[in-house]
Amino acid sequence: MSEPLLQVRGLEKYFPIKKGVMRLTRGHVRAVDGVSFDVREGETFGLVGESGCGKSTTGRSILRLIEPTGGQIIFNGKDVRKLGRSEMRKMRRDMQIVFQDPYASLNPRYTVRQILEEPMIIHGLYGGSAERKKKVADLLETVGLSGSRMNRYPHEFSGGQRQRIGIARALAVNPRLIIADEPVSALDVSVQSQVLNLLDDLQKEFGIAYVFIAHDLSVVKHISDRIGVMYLGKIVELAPADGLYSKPLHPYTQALLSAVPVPDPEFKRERIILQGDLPSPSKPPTGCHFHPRCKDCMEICKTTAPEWKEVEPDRFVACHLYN
Amino acid sequence: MSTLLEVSGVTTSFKTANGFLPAIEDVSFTIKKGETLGIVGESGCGKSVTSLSIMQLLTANGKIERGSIRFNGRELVGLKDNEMRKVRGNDIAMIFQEPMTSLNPVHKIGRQIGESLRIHKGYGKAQARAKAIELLKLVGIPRAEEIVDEYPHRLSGGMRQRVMIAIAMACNPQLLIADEPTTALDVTIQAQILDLMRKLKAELDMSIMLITHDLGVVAEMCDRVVVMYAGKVVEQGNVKDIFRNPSHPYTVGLLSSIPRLEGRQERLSSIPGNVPSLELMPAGCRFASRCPHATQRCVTEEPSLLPVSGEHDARCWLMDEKGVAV
Amino acid sequence: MSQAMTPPSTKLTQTLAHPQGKVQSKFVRVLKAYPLVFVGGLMVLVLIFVAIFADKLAPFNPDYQFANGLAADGAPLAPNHTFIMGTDDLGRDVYSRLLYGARISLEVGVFASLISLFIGTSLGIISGYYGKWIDSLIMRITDIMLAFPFILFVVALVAVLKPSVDNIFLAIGVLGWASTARIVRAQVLAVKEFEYVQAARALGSRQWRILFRIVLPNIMAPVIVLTTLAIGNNMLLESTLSFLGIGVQPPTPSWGSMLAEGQQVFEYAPWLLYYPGLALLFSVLGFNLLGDGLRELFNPRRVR
Repeated sequence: MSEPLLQVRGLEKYFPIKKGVMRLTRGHVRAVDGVSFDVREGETFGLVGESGCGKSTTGRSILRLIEPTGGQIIFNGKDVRKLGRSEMRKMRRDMQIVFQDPYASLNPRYTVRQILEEPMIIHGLYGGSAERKKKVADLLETVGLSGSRMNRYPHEFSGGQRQRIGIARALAVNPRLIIADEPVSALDVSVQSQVLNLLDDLQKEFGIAYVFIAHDLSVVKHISDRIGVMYLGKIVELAPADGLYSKPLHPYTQALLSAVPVPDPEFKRERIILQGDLPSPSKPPTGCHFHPRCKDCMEICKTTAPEWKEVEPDRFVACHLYN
Repeated sequence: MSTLLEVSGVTTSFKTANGFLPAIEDVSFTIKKGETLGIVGESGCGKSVTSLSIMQLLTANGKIERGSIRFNGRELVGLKDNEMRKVRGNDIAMIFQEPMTSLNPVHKIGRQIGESLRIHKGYGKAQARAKAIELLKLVGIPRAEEIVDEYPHRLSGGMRQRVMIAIAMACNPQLLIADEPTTALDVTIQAQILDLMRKLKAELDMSIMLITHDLGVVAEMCDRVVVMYAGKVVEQGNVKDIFRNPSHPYTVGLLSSIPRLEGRQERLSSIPGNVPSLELMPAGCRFASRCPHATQRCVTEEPSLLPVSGEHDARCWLMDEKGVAV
Repeated sequence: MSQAMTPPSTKLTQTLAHPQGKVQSKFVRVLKAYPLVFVGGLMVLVLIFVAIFADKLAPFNPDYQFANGLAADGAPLAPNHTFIMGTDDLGRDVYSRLLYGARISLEVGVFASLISLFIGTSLGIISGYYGKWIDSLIMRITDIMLAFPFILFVVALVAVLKPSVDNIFLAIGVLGWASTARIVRAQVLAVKEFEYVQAARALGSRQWRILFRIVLPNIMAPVIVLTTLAIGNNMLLESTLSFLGIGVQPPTPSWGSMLAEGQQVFEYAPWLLYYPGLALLFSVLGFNLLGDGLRELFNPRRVR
């Protein structure tokens, strides 16, 4: 197989905790703590986990919207963390982001046309104003909106339509990778499915790869080819979507899957109810971070962090059960 | 089973720049003793306005224009404020979506739980505190004796929602209205809270009105379901009928647009278009502009709730022409 | 089930869309919802009109001491046919002086506010956007500015600079930026966190482009409101200074100096206080109504 489009190796983002009058650093929140994965050309890599697991920080660190504190991000053969300002600006053409909140992610004072022209102007694409206008209309049609509405402001659109505009903005620079950070979680189910279908269509048409970040397992399963499950700043399991759902290996993945309510009143299953809450990422438990809530906890789990291992072809897990 | 709550023909309007506009219209349903009723719909369908109308906690610009809400046979609409206060918290309790903002940050948890006991039951300070600890244990909070003297900011979202439930349970209400109680929570915490609600319902013999947009939660928790769209009840029936034989095209669309965990869907089905705005409510069926089966009749004439089978109704002309190919 | 439902025909959709409420123009709707903006705006317009055309509107030269402008005993004349607002103790026409005084008051109010606006916005943006040590530095200076009694500060500076119209607005403007800086900083901090700013960074925008094209337009609404209110306040401040004798110097007419002069003879010539006092009230009220109205208008939850 050819070189993956994006290789993330041991990515770390530690936020310092500052205390006292002198603002001295008294420890770190390990939001992302050694995350590694690959994204192949044209595939969707899902990143799933509960709030505070570091999935959004991972996404934004890849784009350097948040500056990572460690690890490597190799995109298209180049180490993104070593790029200078102007090189980084050029790189942003190839890597884009779609945000969760369709209300906060569009500048309320710009018309849709201005919003979509902005990336073209920044990168000097499509020469003159007439050409840009045509491209804006094209982009809107691509995401299923009428080009005739380009002179309207974001507040004149519904949540789902705004999310389409956000996607169109990302597409304006013809990226090869889009980080989609909870792109449908603010939307109603019927609109959510429209946007998921759109993302699917765009991938087929333009061969864009996605890193799809979400907390909703059904959504991630639907859209992803491969999925990484995050817990307290680490990926605990990584597997192809179908395999992950039919045979989850890590006890956390098992619990997560069994907790999803199934829209079928006659569906019966064994539910694993996790005890307690997510521990604080500033004081993660010793050994395996998951051991205090794990139903299969062994002695070794309390003291030693499990190794990240490929237990079956293309299936990775960090758990002592598989050592 | 006897009827606990009977909502009939309730219309609630809100003042806007264009005058009073109804947010819910002619909403009717009943909740029986010991039953869980799910109210499901997307944002803006009026499900929260329905619960606020029952509690009469509408904002100043809203009012119940028509209809009756009977609780245990007693009419609640038009009740004086001090009479209604005795119902709230005592007979009917409510929990909200946002556990982070629904607890008062400046009071200790014990005091917040004890408050309704002191108001409604005349408990003394020590008595209320003892009961608060008992309630915290009931909702599964570890170290209840310590937590009772803590402030809310020390608790996680899931723990706060447990405290909210403890507050709601304080006076043994006969009806618990839960407005999106798990929407702000993570899926594993949601499972804990739903489990707790199920357990409490069985132990305390109460009824639950569960408002949610999540059809998975409905399927797991509810006995009967009311589906709302654009301020109207469009379908109601018991949970198996709704999921096995969804009859309103909106319910059908909703059910088929959720991604499923099991199996592989190449493409999700979706409902085109958007919910009409309050100002631009169509005269006929409110779903007609998005409906694949809409006819001229749907555009001009609004259907009433028509029987599908037994206690299963749908507000759709298709029910009127049984046998016509769908 | 695996296919999207077919959308209804466009003909059907058209018949469906028939609005219940009547459609009003945006102007009428805003007017209805916020009548105060228009009342305040109108009052401010009147003031501006008077200030610009004072020389055309005034019947007399404001500094001319009329021989027939004083009674036989040397007392000012009460309002009459010739001098509709009476005369002052030097026999000058109060009406003409009032009209010319509007120029000074407005000039000081507007220019002082613009200077504060410029300094305050610049410092606020730098503070909020760049953060770190520069933020701490600017905010500590702001704290110091706010901790001093403002009027004393201005009096001291004007005294050093020598009282004149230019120096008054310069002093008020240069010293009055602190609250603007604070508000701008708070706004920048809030806007900076919005995802559309993140999106601009993700698209590769340069810093200055983000600052001027994205952050600045989004924080202007409260700043404009604040500035409008500040104009009224600064007009009052000019009057205070003139009243204290360190403002506009005689014979230049300003409402404050008119009040100061009138105060000595108000027992038998009360109109010398009434008219400038009412003029001040009218102007400050106008700016405040306009400012409050704009605040409502810029409120994101307003009627659309």
